[in-house]
Amino acid sequence: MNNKELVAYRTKLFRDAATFKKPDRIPHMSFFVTWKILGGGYTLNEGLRNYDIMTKVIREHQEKYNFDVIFELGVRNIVRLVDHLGGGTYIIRDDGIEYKDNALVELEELDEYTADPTKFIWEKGMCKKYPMWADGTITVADLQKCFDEQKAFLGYYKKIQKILKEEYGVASFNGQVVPCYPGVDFLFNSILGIKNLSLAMRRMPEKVDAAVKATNELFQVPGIAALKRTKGPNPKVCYDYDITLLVHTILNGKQFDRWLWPDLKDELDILNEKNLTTRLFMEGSSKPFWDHFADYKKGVITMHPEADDPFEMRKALPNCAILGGMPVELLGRGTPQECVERAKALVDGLGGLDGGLVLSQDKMGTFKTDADPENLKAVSEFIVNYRG
Amino acid sequence: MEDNKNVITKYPEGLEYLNKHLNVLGLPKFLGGLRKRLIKSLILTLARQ
Repeated sequence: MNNKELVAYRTKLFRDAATFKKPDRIPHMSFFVTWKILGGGYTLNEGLRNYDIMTKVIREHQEKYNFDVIFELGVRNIVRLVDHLGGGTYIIRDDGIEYKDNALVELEELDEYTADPTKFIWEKGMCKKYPMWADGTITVADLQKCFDEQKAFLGYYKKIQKILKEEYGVASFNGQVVPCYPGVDFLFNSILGIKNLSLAMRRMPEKVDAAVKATNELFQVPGIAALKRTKGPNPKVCYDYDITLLVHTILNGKQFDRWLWPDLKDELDILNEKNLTTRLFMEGSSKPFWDHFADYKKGVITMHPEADDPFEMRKALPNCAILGGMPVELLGRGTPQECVERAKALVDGLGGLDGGLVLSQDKMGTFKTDADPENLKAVSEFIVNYRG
Repeated sequence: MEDNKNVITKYPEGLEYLNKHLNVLGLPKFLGGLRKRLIKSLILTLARQ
């Protein structure tokens, strides 16, 4: 098989698995993020700040483990972009990343934000992030460096995709161009932060309603419009769509139904109507909300459980394929035999050789302890050869 | 903020100013709508990262 044929073969493995058709074998996806850098013997500062090193990291990751897809290509932490303005939300150490739960909007500013999110972010949010914006010393030249950096970043991304496809026959995960993003998740992740959103939901729920609606104009509304224009499944990519959510980790059932479900349902209903496939990665546990996904057509949603038991998930949601299943704790601390036994148990227990399973890691591989290279090699070799 | 006189930090004045002065991925000036969308997108990215 040449690399062009290999890309087509691997893509079909995913599409068959997602839609419960019998795949030739179980597809295997890398969900490693910064582990790739650390596991390759580099520091995070070297990997994240040097695209040549990141290219080597991705090449070595593929050469060692022979994945069908690498979900994250070194683009999650665009640290060089914010370096020009003095740094951002992430603190990059050589061996780990810390995230600051920064609020761009304080509770007393919520009305002002809601009145015009773009104006608020531009005039006040940026001041909280960057001292040079707050004291007025920011120049056109500073922002030009950011634009030039963005261009370099896009160049790297295009190049690494081409290398993987043409030199390694690695498939493309998804082809979605304009993603939706439910307003409440953006409020949680970037605008209010965990603490302020939690307080706002309890103290001023009507204001959260308004803030969600206003925030939706940034991503959700254009994303839905783009999704409605999608003609149908794209056989050139493994999934038509991808959804990652964080905010549900602090929501109870009523809050989920009020602030997240209406927007998530809009997306899922369109995917369902058009027979498009999506991965749905809800960080932490999604179990309290599984009943919401039970009525979608078989093969539309592929759940990626992070903290939930995949076997329990399959029983509750027989209409949803499962991606994941390999605990990073086991990959990091178990033996090669234990890891292979887990992979075999997943395939056999979930009936994966008849469809409905993509093997991957349960969590974004981040720390050096998230996998022992020998364990990962053992699983990779097992999964490409296992036919039951 | 009251003392900050830098036009870049005001909206929408800063957007208009940056559209006039930035090289936006090599796009020509007559594509003002696209240039402004990309500038807004950059600021949003910077605010999030």
